[in-house]
Amino acid sequence: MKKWYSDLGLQARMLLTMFLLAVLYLFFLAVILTFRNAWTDILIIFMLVMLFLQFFFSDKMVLWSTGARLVTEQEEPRLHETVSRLCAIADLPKPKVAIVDSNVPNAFATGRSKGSAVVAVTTSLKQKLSQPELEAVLAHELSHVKNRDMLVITIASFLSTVAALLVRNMLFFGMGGGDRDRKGAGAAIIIFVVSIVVWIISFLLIRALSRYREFAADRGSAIITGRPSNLASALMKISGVMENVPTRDLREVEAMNAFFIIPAVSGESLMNLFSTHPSVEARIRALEEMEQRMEF
Amino acid sequence: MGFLDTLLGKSKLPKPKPDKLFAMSTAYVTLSTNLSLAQAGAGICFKPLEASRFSRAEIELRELLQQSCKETNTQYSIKKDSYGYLWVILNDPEFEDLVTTLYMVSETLTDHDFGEQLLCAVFKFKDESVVYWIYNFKQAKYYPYVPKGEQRDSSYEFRLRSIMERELPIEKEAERWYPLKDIPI
Repeated sequence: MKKWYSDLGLQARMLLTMFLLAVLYLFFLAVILTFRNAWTDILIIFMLVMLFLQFFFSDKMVLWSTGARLVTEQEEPRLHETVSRLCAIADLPKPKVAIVDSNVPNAFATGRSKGSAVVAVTTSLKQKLSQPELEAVLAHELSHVKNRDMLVITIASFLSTVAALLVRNMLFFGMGGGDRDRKGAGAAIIIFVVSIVVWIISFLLIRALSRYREFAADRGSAIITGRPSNLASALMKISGVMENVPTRDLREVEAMNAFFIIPAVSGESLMNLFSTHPSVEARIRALEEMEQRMEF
Repeated sequence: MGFLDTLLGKSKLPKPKPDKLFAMSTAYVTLSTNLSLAQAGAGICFKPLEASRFSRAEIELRELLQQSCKETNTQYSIKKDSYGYLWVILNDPEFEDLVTTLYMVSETLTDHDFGEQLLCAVFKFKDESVVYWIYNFKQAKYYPYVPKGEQRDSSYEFRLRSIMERELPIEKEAERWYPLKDIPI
């Protein structure tokens, strides 16, 4: 394996984040199991069903919500050829290819497994990027598929979503159930407080994890294409255009941010800690560093 | 890829396996006698890297090609296709020499650490239509590709598979039979 292939620092941070999430979730589960009542049980079963559904229908849901349209080889021969060549080099099964009619240049990958993956690009991305840049973006998305990022993030978010739901429902409806004695009220307060803490911390950890996965996918793209600079220039082009896009368009696609190559939120209004993607500057810096290390 | 690699999002490219390339030299006898397919050259396709190390490898590759092609009377050319991939294209009436030179090119690239960027080797044959046998270096498998206008002649491809199954290691999953546009051979 070549030296520039791996980034030990990144892997250490990723491992630490996942470890902290696991510890946090174990603590959360312990608290829930100690103070549980019928109501929390129902909620968790409901969430498990949701997770299951999401796991099986996520690809269709994403395609539907973004308006992506699957295209055949005859419709998009160049796009298909580019994807299949990258897949042959990376030794991946070829995902389905989709196109989104949009003025926002962007791309995303989805699917629970390598076999059911879909890679989508917007019409504007296809127009604005050159062939090597488009290839680099596609390789980034294929790396997400290869690393099973959709699955990793879905699993990592599960208990966080449970905590969030607990907090919201308890705020609006109280604890529910007839158990209004002192012991029940005490348990409800403990679950409420613990849920808030777990929600906030896990939110930050998941965002961090998501950013690390982006860096990893950038590196994957550089490895598959052998040209980190192509992705760097694609990122610059996309982000340059992104800033000039009207916000109405952006809001429509905002829910899909975690899967896009560059999130469609204009301006650096969000603090980095809260964003799903690292800043374009940081990503380009990492790519440049890879390029330098390639020479040795 | 292992579980930990996936968990940590580590990317690795599989190493090329060029050994099965030689299966084509024996298969050619069947192809030419039973199917009356005539060979029409061969090529190897790879993704050039952006590094000065790669240009050094390219220089060495050209020197090597010049030397060995003089010995065997093989004609070679290097072309870039519209997807940015490089092709080394070989023509030689002696089929054995084609296979050996292709193998040598893949070895040279692998020695310079660029083997992971090998896309495929392609053998071109002709009867009424053009038939390609494509060798996937990552899987060490062959598959047939018969273009027919913008489409492909799948029934002919499957026929080729059933005839050649015993002599060539053929890719079992037909989903991996990627067509290849822009073949400059």
